[in-house]
Amino acid sequence: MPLILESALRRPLRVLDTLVTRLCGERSNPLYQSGTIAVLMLVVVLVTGLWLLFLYRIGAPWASVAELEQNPWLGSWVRALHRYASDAAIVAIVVHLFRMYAQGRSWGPRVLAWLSGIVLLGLVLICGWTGFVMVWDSFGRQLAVEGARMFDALPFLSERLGRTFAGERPPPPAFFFLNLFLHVALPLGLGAVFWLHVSRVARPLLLPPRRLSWALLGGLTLLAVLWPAPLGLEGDPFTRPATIPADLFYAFWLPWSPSLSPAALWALLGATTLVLALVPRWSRRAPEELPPSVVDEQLCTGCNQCPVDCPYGAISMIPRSDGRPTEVARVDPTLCVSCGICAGSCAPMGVGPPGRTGRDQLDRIRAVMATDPRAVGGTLVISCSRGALPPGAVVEQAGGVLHPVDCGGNLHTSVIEYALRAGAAGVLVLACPPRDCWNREGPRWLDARVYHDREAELQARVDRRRVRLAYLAAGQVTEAITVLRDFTASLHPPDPQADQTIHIERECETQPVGRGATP
Amino acid sequence: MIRWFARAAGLASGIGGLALLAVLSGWRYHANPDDHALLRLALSARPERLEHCRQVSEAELAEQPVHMRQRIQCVGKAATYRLHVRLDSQTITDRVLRGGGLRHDRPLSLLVEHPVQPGAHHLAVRLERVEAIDSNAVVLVDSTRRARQPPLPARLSLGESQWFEARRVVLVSYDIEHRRLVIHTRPGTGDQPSPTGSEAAP
Repeated sequence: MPLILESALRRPLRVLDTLVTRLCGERSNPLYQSGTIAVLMLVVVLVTGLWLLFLYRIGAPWASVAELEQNPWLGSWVRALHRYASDAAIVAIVVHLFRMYAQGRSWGPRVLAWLSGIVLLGLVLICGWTGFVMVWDSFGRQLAVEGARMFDALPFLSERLGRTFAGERPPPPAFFFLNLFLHVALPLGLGAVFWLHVSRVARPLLLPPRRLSWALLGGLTLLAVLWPAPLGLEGDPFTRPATIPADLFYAFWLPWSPSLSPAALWALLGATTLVLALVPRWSRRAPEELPPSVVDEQLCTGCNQCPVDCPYGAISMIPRSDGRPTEVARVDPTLCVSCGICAGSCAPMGVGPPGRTGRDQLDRIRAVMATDPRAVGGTLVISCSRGALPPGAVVEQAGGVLHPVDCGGNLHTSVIEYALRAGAAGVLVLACPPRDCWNREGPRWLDARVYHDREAELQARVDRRRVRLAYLAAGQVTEAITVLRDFTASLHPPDPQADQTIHIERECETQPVGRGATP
Repeated sequence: MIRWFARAAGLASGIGGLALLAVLSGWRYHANPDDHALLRLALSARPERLEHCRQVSEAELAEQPVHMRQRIQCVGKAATYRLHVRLDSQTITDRVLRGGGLRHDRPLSLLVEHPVQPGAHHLAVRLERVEAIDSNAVVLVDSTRRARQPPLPARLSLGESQWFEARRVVLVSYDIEHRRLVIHTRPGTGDQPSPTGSEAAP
């Protein structure tokens, strides 16, 4: 099973990504924003929930909600928005879960994020459960009865909870108070777990791009106005309703759970949780496949750029032990996800995952320029293997030479300069869309290094007209070829005089990485 | 042109997605596809405590420390009850009920449901203590401050004709105040003892 499931899921995800990108555009593709959409939806739920709290009465739960439904201005649509946003949150969380797993971003140093994500999903489902019970319509009552049935199977409860809903007397207000308390208190726990969830990310993105956020809010509000949330008949212990309006996002299990024994339900719940939590471990990559970054202390100048750029806060600066006045970078291997972003941020190429440092990148481009005659005078296409990687033959037909790299974001700018000085007419870098970078901030830093003098910047002497960056998602091969054709057509023959002023070998000399590399 | 077409298709799929969200948010599923009525038995009551007591001899007392000398020593347990429910001529439940908790000394709690064909049926419910009282045993009705309710009587029974309406629930429960089995057919009913067929034996 190792990797088979993961890679099997990656293929349909790429297809889906491509399709949605074509429909919505790369910037508004909701699939790239699954995590931030979940946060946005939970914020909407929180805001609308605060308003609904004022109108809810624990002494008459169903009646107060029914009254709310009669108020078209600040009642029914707010409740509907509360419900639809919580449904959308579940969809976004599940998509996020699927996406992170299929992309292999779920174990190793990311195990905390994965497990806390599972807990978050559980908390959101329980929170939704208490919310539906609050309404006390036929659906809410059914949820309460099923919940009581499960808890009654536990050996430590001497009194049967289910009797509360048997009909001898109405459920006491204390029950609804406790339920309301849980519904309000659980989001506090949600906040704490969410903090854990993003704690290993240096700069977590919490909200989707503004345009997508407004589109989602507008769409859901319109839906809430036009299509009010269903409200069943008041929960009656003496009636067996033929049908019940259930929210399948939270109660997908309800239609078949009454036919299972409580023990079977507990077993199913436990097994599902266990499988969800441990599937990434079973299908994880071998640790040696993605070793953490290392620092060559001889080369490190203590410039403090790699700790700033690292998306996972895995690099810190510590005092040197060799008597030099600067600090030296130190990688924490338990936090490093081996994204390689640091390789692109280090001007002297002294940090990066083994085999992917700036020096290794230079070695590879040197080999390409030396062995592939088409690269000299042609357009070199450096493409992220996780993005819109076009087939080599197609690139060749369009007048380019393909050079796939592990990540466009950890590309060292010296590679671009070397390729141009070695004779390439132009360099086109195809990176992933900024919000779908597997390594989080790769496109952002790449853009800053090429165009905005961020360390390790592309030298000012490099003609920017001969360099182009394009952000394309997996599957956008046609777009990639279009960009390549446009770029190639815009290129002018290189000025031989200008190039002769720079000694390529001296500027981009590849030095052997010294011993003493520290993890 | 193609781009505009793609954006229109994107908008349409967005609207479709929202509609799907609304549909799945209020999906009406068949919770009770049949028209059966339901007989629900739900009760909670403290079981009687059965204690076997004996007089301690003077010699035994002398062996005990002064502060532990009790002339009467009792060993007790909570009583168990046999529940027998008949609908017309068919037995639908026949089981022994124990008190809750690991030592079974907590209130006895029952919640069972049984589907019933709609119509008139004769319902007979009998709840009897299993343990017989012999001359050496003493049944104690705990009247100390720990007891918040009187225990179940040794025998409870209820027998009457009952109309079971389709898709409705008939609830049989225990009225602690009157120490009787009662029938509820809608919220708020059954607070009074059932007028027929219910009896309790001390």
